[in-house]
Amino acid sequence: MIAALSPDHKIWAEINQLGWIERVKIVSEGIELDAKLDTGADHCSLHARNLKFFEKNGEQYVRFRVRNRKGEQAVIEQPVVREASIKRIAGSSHTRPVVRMTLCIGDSYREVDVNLADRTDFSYPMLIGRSFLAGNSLVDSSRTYTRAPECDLPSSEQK
Amino acid sequence: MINNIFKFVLSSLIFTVCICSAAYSQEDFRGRKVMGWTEKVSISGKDLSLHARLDTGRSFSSLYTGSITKVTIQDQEVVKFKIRDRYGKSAEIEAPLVRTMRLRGSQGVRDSYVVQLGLCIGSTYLEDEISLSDISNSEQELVLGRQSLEGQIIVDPSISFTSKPEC
Repeated sequence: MIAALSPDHKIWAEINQLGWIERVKIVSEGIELDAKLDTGADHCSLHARNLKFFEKNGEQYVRFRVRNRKGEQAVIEQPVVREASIKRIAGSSHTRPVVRMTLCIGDSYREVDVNLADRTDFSYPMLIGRSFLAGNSLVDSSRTYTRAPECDLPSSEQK
Repeated sequence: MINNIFKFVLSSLIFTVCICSAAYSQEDFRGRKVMGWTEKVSISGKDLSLHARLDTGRSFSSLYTGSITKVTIQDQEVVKFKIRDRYGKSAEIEAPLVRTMRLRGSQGVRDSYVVQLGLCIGSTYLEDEISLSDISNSEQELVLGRQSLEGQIIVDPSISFTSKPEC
């Protein structure tokens, strides 16, 4: 209680106020990507290239490449947790592999399911939906790039 | 006894302060209000409330509705359309045409009217340009993009329906 009243205590809302574009860190690889924070989206989506599926220890895996604006690249290998069916307005639907990742935005991190998509036509390689944002952040449409991703994670997860 | 009452008052005071600082108040962040990602919104001062999605992933706002027609009233182009909410209330709205937008979508090219509308969310009144899409068959929907939210509303993706339109 006393700690909560000290002058350097920040209220919850100040800690988690973000703009609609932020830098997101994929914790396992340490790579930072620009992401659109989309309160209208349920889930998170990542632009992944060179998808290769393979089996390891009887599990379905996917290997893919991500690249940021600075030209930094990372090759990521993750088990496929499920296939997400994506609905299009025109009625057609297709599936995307879903992997689990720990993401860091501002100073909050969370493990979320991320579907791997071809986002070539989109301005930002990553889309952050409510599965990450709910209970975590407030999104302000008048601001962008408010903070660098700096999460206080258990050292075993960080690179 | 008095000492005990004093202790009680003091501890409840501290408790209240902690509760208040743990969450944010609905009022404001530099004049902006915090709202959920879906809210009830009334348009053009009509007594009805449409479910609106507050969508930071969209630049502009759209209303998916039915029976859209363009008419000319005293040399001014006006768009008429009907809205109905999920509570059985409906209204016909007339709004000035701002421009016609050519949209290239999955079903080919179509024209969409952009009108100027007054919206009420909670106690916030905002006027903005909204594009109208005719979808007579499916559910009506209002989507508010960043242009409408900017400088007025901050979205909390963990809550919904926090307010009633009262402007």
